[in-house]
Amino acid sequence: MNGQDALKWLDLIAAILARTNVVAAAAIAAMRTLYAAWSEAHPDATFEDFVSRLEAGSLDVIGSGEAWMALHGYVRQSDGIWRK
Amino acid sequence: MSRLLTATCLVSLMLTGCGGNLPPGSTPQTKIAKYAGDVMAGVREVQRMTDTLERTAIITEAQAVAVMAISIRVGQGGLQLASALRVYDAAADLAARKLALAEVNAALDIIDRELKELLAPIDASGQKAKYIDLVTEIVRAAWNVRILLPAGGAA
Repeated sequence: MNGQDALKWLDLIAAILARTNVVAAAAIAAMRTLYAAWSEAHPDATFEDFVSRLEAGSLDVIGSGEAWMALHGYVRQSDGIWRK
Repeated sequence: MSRLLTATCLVSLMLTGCGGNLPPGSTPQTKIAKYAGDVMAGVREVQRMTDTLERTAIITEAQAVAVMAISIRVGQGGLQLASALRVYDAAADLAARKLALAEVNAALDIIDRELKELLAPIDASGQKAKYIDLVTEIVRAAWNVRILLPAGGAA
């Protein structure tokens, strides 16, 4: 293997490692949030508390999804499909 | 390393369970609302992860759009479920409760169906496996919601 070949391999390895780091960080953040949500105790919470949180969470999901779509130039058509 | 990380995350989730602690005597509808809220938190994380994967070109924009469209429908199912749970909780007698239960079931059907669809836009190759693991855990958590539902509507 000459020097040029070695550089190509090193570039490839560096690129793979960079991608792995991005995805691993996102996965850890996601798992951490799920872990926190699922293991958190709510000794004083009532039905209304939980159903309000469900509503707030649902609205957050809808709002974030629609904002992402709009940011990427997508508009919901009358048939419900998102198109640019 | 990535396999070790995924395994660690999954084991930690299995050990902690998906429920957290609820006060003794909590009604099934309270637990359903809590678990469904947890599912929505998970779906929000899926949206964040999808954005990251799309920005780093690990998934295509078309795949990300499909995931976001599905997640919006899951959110709409969540709103429908919250509304149906309130009616169910306030139902005065068994007949009214059975009627409300049909609405709760319909909302859960939407959430179940859409969550399963979340897996479709992303293939299982390479690092996308972590995404699949996350969505699979959320679908599993959604099953916790489903098993709480009384079959006869007499919760």
